[in-house]
Amino acid sequence: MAEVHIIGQILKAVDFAEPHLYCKWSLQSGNAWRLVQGEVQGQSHVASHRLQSSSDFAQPLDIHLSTASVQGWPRLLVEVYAVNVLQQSWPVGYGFVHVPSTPGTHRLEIGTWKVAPNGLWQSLRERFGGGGAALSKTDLLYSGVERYKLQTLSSGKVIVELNLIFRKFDEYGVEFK
Amino acid sequence: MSASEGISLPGNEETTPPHEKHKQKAKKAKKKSRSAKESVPNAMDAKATASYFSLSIVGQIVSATFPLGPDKEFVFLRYEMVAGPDWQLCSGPQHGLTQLATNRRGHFNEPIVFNMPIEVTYKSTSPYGWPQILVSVFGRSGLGRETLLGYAHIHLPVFGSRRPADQTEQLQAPILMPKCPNMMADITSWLLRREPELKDPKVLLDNLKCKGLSMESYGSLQFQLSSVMRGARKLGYHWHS
Repeated sequence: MAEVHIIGQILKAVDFAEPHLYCKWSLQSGNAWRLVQGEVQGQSHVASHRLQSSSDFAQPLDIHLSTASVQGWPRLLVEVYAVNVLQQSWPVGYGFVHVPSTPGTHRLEIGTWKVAPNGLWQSLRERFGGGGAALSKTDLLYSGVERYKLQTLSSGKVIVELNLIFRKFDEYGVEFK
Repeated sequence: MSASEGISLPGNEETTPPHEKHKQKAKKAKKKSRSAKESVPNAMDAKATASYFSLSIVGQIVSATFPLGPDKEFVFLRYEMVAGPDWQLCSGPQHGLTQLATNRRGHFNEPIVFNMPIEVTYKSTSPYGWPQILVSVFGRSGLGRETLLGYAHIHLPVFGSRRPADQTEQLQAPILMPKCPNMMADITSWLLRREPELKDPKVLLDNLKCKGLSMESYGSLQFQLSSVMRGARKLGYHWHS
């Protein structure tokens, strides 16, 4: 079985309108992939910056996967939530990125989107009432199947740095040249 | 003759057939990664039970930078190396404490230089639990009162140093300071002039335990670290693309 090690950090979120953010992440992969060690989901602390409008999560990732097939290459899903003074939280960014397919150090920028408010009342609720709309089924994040009914706005970026170590892939004929 | 004798550099393709990689043959080999410094060659006697690879990290905590100056006059750091269950520390200290450094005589946003050496060697069977360095930044006012200024943590470099092109680029880690969980704690901390500290800073390295924490980031630490690895290619790991 070929093995993949993903070692890195979800570094920070930039260009979001809200100052206090936290990030929920999960790593999803196909049926042929098995988790050997590590956790495939997590939630960071609430982060804000004193001077700029960025949030440093510094959420370490250390995942060991083993696989029998190249299909179902793992994806990192990220949901950024904002928190207000009353401790209410609402999603302000959804995004995903495929884990790169070459070994080495990679710095990835995940562009995120959020659900667009649908009228005046929803815009006001988003601004003042603790949150806009959220997705009810989060599998829309990584599947392209039923997206055409959704209206979205672009949101900020999440910066992730990953180091990838592959093992025994050339025994199965996969080359990374 | 195995092609892995002598120094293996990126670009020297490994021409051994894959199944030979797992045969343990007694041979002398010297392997260096891209940014390797000169080290005394070790005879790698491959026995049947030798399935460790060893990782040697050399470098320093260069400095701490605060954009509007540090909150206290003197700053010192306490660092700790944290690694997974498969990792064994072979040499080097696991904890360390730096000197008290200040930048008061100069410009307020000059980097506060520590120049703290970090030299550790780890031995492991698997890259899971790659060692991280967790630094607690403390400040000491001129009157001797010490408080926490924040925590910073990074993974030790996985591939030599950061990128082969810019060897002088330093690793930056943001300094995160925990905020008070409620108003009462805020008032108490203002009265006693002590910031809240985490009971166990390793909570920041866990994926689920830091859920309710609220942190503010201010300042960053600069590291200059490079790693030398030995024995990983024999175990089948693709270390470089």
